[in-house]
Amino acid sequence: MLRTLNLPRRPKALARRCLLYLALICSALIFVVPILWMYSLSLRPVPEIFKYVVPLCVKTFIPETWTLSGYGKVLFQSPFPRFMMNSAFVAIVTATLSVAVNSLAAYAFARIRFPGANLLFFLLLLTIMLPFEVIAIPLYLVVKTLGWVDTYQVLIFPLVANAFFVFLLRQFFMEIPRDLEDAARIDGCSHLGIFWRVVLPLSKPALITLWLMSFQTSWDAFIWPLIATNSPSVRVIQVAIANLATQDVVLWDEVFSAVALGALPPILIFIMFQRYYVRGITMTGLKG
Amino acid sequence: MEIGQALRKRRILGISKLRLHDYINGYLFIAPALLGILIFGVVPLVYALYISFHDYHILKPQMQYVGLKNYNALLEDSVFRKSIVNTSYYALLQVSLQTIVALGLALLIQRKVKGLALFRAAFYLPVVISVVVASTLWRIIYASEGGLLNSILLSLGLPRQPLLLSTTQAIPALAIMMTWKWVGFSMLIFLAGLQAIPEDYYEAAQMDGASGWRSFLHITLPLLRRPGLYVVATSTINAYKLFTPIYVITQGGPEQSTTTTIFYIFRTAFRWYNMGSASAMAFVFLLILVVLTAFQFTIFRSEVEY
Repeated sequence: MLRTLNLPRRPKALARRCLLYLALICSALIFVVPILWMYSLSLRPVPEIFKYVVPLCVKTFIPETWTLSGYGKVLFQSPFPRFMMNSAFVAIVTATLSVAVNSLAAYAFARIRFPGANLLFFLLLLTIMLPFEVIAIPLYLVVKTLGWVDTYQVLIFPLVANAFFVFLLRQFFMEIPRDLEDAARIDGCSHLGIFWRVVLPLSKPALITLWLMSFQTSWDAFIWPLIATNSPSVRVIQVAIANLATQDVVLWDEVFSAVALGALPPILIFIMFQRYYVRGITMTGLKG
Repeated sequence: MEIGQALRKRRILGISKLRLHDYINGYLFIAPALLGILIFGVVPLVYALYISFHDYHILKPQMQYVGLKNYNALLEDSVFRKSIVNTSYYALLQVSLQTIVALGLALLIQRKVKGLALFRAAFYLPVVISVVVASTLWRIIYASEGGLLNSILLSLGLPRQPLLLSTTQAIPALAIMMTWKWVGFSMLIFLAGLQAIPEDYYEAAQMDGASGWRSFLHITLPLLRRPGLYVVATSTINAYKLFTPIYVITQGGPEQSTTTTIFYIFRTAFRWYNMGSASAMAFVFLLILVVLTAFQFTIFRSEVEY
């Protein structure tokens, strides 16, 4: 055991090493235990949900009686599956469109020479800092005149174009050696052809990273869907959870099952594609 | 290389047709992104400025020009002022806490530890759950009766705390919750920064007899300025935008102690339908953010370059 952990033999260094692992494990527990607790609450019958919180004991964290009744109610006796499908549909379409639209623009800024490119790119960068919350009210008035309230497109389109993504992808494309494209161009390949056949395949990891970031942003979006939609037919999961949790009489078994289900897709995707999340950070070029 | 040069030559000689082709392609490629940002970003921003000079209730179709009336009214609005104080206090607490904890965690896992990926994933896990989910969860953790935190305090022999029910504890409690939620992201940025510092800097310092603490102070910290600026600037903006936990948990209470600016703007717009006033607030809010961000950039830049 000690050997596998690479522990040093000198007592002082050994003590420091142990202290380091102790600190690491304790801090990791702070981040993980609340989420596990959330899942443990979702697996209890109603009378037991808050029964064992005080005083602190094993039953606080591990249900005495295990049940899926909360999940049953949410999945089979409420429109919740519809809300989950709405969220998934909106997030997948948004992320896909976002990667397509922003990578096209990034390619143009990285590779094509046209008048005003620098100015346009600079103006684009200015909008990165603009908080969505500031423009949400007039945006609502705009989409209302368009008759877009309570539609899928109102949830999708405002989140597609993203100046930050254009910036990141442009950086990424500029690092791809030009020789490859020159060869393709000699063969009579158009810009679209080069973009599709040379640049995109070489940028797969970056594109996956941005797709995941965009999916996450769309899945988590709350303020905009709260404002722009009202009808249950296009309601997304975050709004549905907030509605459940802010009712006058809160049905906690349903709330925790809904919350547990709503958190599941992002957690699973994160576990599967972990390295792309880390990559996303290093991609921003903030290495020091 | 030679092929590239030959190609460039041909482009210059073949000229206008090829170049025109480039221009058209360039504009077509950027058109969707540019249009999106124009329609869903720039147009609403200009429209917001326009509305802020008008009396505009969503239920009354008529918009009336009132000049600076909405802005003047804000000076008298004690709740708006309180919302800015609340938000700034929250941002100060939350950003400091998040930056310090993120740096601490990054330093912890930066050493060659076994299971780095596992620890990193654990710290990052709350980042991937949504703010609505985190808020619902922490509402129960913070509950004064039957909450997990109070249960832990009691088991340690400490007195029960009112937390979100108290005008003084609510904002710090929210700052801790949001730090828990977001710190993993800042931690990754610091970690990338730490891993980019060349090992020989430390070896040289050690040869000169510098202690661990001194090399942290004179090598690590100065070289973390860029990631540090990024962490502070982005988390300040995020902190100022605090809305969702207020909507899900406190509804601005108790006694307006957690009414943040964005929450107040939304109540003005969508409960009282006063779009003119809400737009004026949004602009004051934007101005505060711009000034703050510019200020942070100057501070981080003005320090001695290494």
